[in-house]
Amino acid sequence: MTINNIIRFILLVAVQVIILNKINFSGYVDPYLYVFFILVLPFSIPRGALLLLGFFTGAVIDVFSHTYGVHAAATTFMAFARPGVIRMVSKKQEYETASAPGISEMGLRWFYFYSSVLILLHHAMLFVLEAFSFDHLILLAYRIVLNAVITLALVFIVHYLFPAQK
Amino acid sequence: MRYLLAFLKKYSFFFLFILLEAIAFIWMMNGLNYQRSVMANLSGSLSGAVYSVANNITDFANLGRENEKLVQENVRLRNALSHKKTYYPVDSVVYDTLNYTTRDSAFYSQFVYEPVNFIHNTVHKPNNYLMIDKGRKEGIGQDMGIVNGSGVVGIITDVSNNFSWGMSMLNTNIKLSAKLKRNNQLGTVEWDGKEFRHGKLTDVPAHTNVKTGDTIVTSGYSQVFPEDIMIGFVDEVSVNEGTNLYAIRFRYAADFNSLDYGYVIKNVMIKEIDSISNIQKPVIN
Repeated sequence: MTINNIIRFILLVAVQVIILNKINFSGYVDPYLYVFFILVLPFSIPRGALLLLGFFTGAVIDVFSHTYGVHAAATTFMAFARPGVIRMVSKKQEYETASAPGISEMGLRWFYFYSSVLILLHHAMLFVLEAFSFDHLILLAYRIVLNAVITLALVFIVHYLFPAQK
Repeated sequence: MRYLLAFLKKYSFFFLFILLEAIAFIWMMNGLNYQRSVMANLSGSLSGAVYSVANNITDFANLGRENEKLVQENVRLRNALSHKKTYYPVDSVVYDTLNYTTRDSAFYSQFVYEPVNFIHNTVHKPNNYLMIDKGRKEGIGQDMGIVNGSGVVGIITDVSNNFSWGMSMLNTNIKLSAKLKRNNQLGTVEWDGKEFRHGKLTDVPAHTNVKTGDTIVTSGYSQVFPEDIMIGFVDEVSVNEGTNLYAIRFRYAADFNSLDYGYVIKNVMIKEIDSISNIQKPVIN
């Protein structure tokens, strides 16, 4: 499990830094697939470790893309929100039996809601911090939603291509 | 104590989150000039609010305003003075000595002073930057000179809407054309990154007469500063080994450790100057 997560972390960071950061369709497209790592961490992970992993993941992306803490702040926020979002989208303790969030474990609908809420939170924090102003609110909202949708699509593609091993 | 520990334990998740976010934000502030300038805006207005309350309590209430007035006064005087550097039409007999009221472009001076407030400054780093409280909205742009009452302070490097960043003279990247006032010998002012009271003047030929106490002023060749603005006073003169150039150590006229009010110098003719310096010069035999 741990080994899987480490390999997944390295692969996602590599894909993010080497491929996705270079993509520049129409100027506004910059999806952040690396959040998939936080999404599929096991349910049993201690909340403190979750936060630290979130910060660490964001910090690694920051170091590679010269963004100085923007990703660290956004990913820490996402990790902070994760336990609450899980409680919000689940029926009574249904995740207690499952090991990690995933389509096979929790169902398509559950995973769809769960990941879209977290990706939206992450992207909102990220793009607001990147712009650091609310001067162009419509453009900001457009960038958040557009990239959240693209990231969500990528998350589903990756999830189907490389299902989490149990 | 037990309750405190219990409290901390109960909310440790939240505290850890706040701690990590704080680290990320500090990282951001150190990284991006833009975020830095926005943050300084916030802290500037916060400290401004605190200061204004404090001023109402103390008797210094009017000091700030008086100071501001004085700066405005100085601006008028300096603008009037710098008219000496412009060329008037030969036939023009009318010389309006109060010509900041005139709107005829023939009477405009080349350099216009904008009063500014230094809101951030360092002196102990190898490359020191300062921040001023005016920006694009006040017409401040890149490569404009910054001075204060005592002398040259620096050059504007980045401008946002309401704020500007400048390299201070205490920056190893700065190179400014200067001259010795007494004998008009040209040189270059630099900073070695060591100590904030002294800079060095290079490229002055060793056969010229330079004495301790000589005044160093701007040459007026750079289009950033007008001629004859004070830079500093010669402290030590020695000859660079193996060259015939002086290595002059000088004391800055401006006290960089207590920057308060100053001026940004706008060169209103910079476009005209640039347009002719970009034209290829004819070859003269």
